[in-house]
Amino acid sequence: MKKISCISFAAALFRCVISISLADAFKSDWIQYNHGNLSSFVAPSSDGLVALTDMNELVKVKFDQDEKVQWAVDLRGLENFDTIVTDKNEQVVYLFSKSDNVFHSYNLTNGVLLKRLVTSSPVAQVVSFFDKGVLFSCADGTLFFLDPAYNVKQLDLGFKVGHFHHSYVDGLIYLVTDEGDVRSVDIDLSAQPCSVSLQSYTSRQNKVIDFKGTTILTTNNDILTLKSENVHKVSSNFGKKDSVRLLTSNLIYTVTSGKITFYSIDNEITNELYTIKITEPFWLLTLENDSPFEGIAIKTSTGLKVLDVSDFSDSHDPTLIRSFEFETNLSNGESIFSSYSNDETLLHFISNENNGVFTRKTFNLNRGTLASDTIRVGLPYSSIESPIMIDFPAPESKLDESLHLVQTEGSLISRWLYRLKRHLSQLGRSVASFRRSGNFPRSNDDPFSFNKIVVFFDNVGRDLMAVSTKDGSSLWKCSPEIGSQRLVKILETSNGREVVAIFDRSYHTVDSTSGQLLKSESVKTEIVDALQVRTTDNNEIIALVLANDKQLLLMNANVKLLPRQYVVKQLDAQTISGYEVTETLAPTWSFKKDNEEILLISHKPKESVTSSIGIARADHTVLYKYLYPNLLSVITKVKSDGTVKFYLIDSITGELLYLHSHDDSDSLVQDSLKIVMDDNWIVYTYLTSKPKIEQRIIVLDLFADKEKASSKEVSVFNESTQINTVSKLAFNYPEVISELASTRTKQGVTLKSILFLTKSGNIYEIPKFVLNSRRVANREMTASDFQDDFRMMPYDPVINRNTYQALNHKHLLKVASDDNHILVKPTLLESTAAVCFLNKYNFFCTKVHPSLSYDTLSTYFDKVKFLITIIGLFIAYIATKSFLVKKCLNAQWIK
Amino acid sequence: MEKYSELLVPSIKKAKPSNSKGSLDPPGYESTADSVTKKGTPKQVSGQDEKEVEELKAKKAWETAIAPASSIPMNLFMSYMSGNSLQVIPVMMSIMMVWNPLKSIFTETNKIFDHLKTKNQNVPIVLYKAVYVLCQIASMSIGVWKFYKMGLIPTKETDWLAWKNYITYKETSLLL
Repeated sequence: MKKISCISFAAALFRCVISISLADAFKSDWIQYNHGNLSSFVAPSSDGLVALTDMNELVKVKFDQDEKVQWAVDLRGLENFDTIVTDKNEQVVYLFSKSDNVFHSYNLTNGVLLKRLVTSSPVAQVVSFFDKGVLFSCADGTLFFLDPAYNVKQLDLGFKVGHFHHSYVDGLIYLVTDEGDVRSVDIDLSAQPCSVSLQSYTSRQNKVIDFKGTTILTTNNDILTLKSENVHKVSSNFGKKDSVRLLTSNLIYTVTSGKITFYSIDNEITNELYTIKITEPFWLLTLENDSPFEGIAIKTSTGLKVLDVSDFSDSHDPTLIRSFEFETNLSNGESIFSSYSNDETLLHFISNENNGVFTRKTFNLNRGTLASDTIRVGLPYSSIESPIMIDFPAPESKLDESLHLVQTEGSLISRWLYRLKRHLSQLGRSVASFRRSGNFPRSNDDPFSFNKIVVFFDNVGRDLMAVSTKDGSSLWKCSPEIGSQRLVKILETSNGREVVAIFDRSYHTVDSTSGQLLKSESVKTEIVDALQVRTTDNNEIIALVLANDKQLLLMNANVKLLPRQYVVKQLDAQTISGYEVTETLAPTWSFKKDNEEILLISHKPKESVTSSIGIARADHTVLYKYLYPNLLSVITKVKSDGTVKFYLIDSITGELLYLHSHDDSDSLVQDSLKIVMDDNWIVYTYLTSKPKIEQRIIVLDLFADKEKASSKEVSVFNESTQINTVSKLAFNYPEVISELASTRTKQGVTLKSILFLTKSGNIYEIPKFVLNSRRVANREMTASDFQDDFRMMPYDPVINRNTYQALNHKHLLKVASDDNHILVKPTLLESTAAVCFLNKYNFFCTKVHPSLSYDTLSTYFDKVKFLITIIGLFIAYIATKSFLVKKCLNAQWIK
Repeated sequence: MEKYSELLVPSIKKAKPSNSKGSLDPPGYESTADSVTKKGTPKQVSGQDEKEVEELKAKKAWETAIAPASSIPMNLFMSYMSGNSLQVIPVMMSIMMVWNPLKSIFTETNKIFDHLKTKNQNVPIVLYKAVYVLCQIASMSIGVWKFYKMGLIPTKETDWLAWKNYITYKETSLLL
């Protein structure tokens, strides 16, 4: 027996050590940014690209790194940028807009904004200037030079420069406008006197369309050459409608059906050089950047054909035309870029897919190889609707295993034996695993239920998504057949194994672990809402509220509803109505103030758990909390003078319990009102624009009398629900609050914290004892004041913003203008709650410990030392045992 | 057993008369010690002596009975000086203050008054015992008072807060 207990102790100890090593579960907080889909404007190099996305971001994507998005610049709230240009050395990226008068330049390596310029009109074109800065023209015809030190200088060329072409000739840069004005500029920015004008060759219909070397091509396919301050027209027999392109300054090609013909320009005459016949239909592809690649890319029905003419252009020897053919599927919406790295010319085909995924095909023209990458810069969803956070359902095997822990049948010894057997089998498994692989198995399960599932509806992709809060990985995706139905609600079933997505004409039951669609049913009448109702067998089922007379449709028809269930619903901007839940929703009371508009209503959450029903004061008396669960907060605005009124209403009887009217000089900013109710308190926040811009926080603590502390069960209709005392206090916060939430733990023992999502992109955890309405104002605090409440402190109207209170510490959150969701769910550890913040821009999850992690070992707990101490004590016990026996015997002798 | 015969029946040599060899006894040593132990029988006490003894015993019993009270002022002073904060030493001290009198009442009351019984006592010994117990209780009450001052005795409303429940309502409601 002694030996068995010894082994049992060792096994239990081992289990204990395994449990401790899970402490690193606390390190896991993560964020996933949704950068959205790439817009078509990209500026790639061989290993990456810079792009604008439809989430209004400028992102740099690196292909060869795990973290694909190297940096991202949030452009929300700025002008609408649509064009990106990189400089010649790929050091700087320029961003401008066809509609707004603004010009940005960013460092390409780190995304730092180098210069923001507000121009007189939208920027039309940006070109590099001798590797030292850029020239940019504006739509109104002004031309500017931006030097490497980001100083701006306007250049006056004597004519308006809207859209222009440029070419480097003899150490000068020649600028030719579409209208035919020509001017050359030297490296010191002095415009050279120039007698040349193309005006006699151009007209409104015949504009300059290309300029390479000294050769100019116009709309009517006239070819002009600039030579020593003179312009010559090259005689050619191209028709106005022929497709003529410039390749280099002395090489032209035409594309006609079935063939590509090359011409050279010699002495102002074009000579036909060579014709390539292509039997199958083909499309000429145009590159989107100033290309280092001299050649032609065409798309055929079977793939891509590339003609590299870099050697041919000098020698005019047709045998030097290198031709490549790649068998590949090219779509139509691809953007094509060329780049040059390590003496190799690369062609990049970039095509967009949905959900932030794009494909890059790279053709290496020196090696004739093709590489294809599919890169994700966004998340697999682009909108988030009614997210809920649920627990991972326990697997069936686990349920079996832990059953003996809860069951009380059987004798103490049989239960102990069962547990011993389980511990021993675990020990055996661990030892076997250690011998096989050299380390102990890390249990993959999550004993404290830190990991949750977030289920939401993606309205763009029209499917249900589930994401694990462990690492943000997508668990499943379910696409029920819903057509264009509107989502009403997503609810979890009471057994926690399924989620039900309710749309206006159908509802779908989905397994919450696998995402398998278990049941789909459609209804004839429109569903307007859904709720969980209690049944006589002490269970909860989902009931659907139908549009016709608020009829209820139970998802399980064989059960009976418990009586005395009520719901509250806001009907319009002025009316709130209470209903009793029977077969229908039978109206009971309504709240309507003719002169008032309802801004916000909130009900005390069903999940609110409180362990202590009162506050122990210094004189050992108790301040009982008012914990009435059916409490409704209504905030209204008086239409005539804008006064804000706060009502507390008993949601069953409709009785007014409390009314607080704000000062009418406060002017509330629209939609800034947020509220959170829990425990015995209500916190609501709003932004005022007058008398000055302030973020206000109002805290109300409700207290009851002693009679409420009793174990009896009463009916609201027989017992008064009046609030004994309401204490209230206002605070200011230095940031604009976009969303509010309260932490919740399993037993409600842990202190509560209030989570503030600020507009600047942080979630701050403010303990409730800071937002205490009983903080002492206008007098010195006495000793008993300090003992009256937990961490009582004197009133200070400003709640300080401490960076250590930011839950997101190093991650910056992106806050949407609406639909920001903060989800809180208790874990099995009383100290800890799981918190997720999600909107269409990002998904962030962490854990909060409002009273610090008092029920877990700290991460720096030395487990090895602990084990050594226990083993040492055990050895010392064994070793000294014989001495002790000897000593006892000796003691007997001396007597 | 023969082995141990020496142990079981030791042969004790008698001390020689001290002055037989002319050596002097040490100062203060009286050779009558032997004779006293040998005689062993107490002297018969006379009637007057008996009365005296009874008086003495009564006096002694009274002293014993009120002895615990003598420590009350000191304990009071110590309790007052050590403050009401919850610290190990004051708590241990208070435990001793409660425990020691309790222990004495149950284990020592009879024992210490046993030999103070006399044949015809004016005051019955039970009364002395009662006084003794009362004094011990008085001494103990200082400990209890000290515990009370420390807030370790659950007498106040707040002490029972954790066991109290909020009233439950039959009706439930939800916001749609």
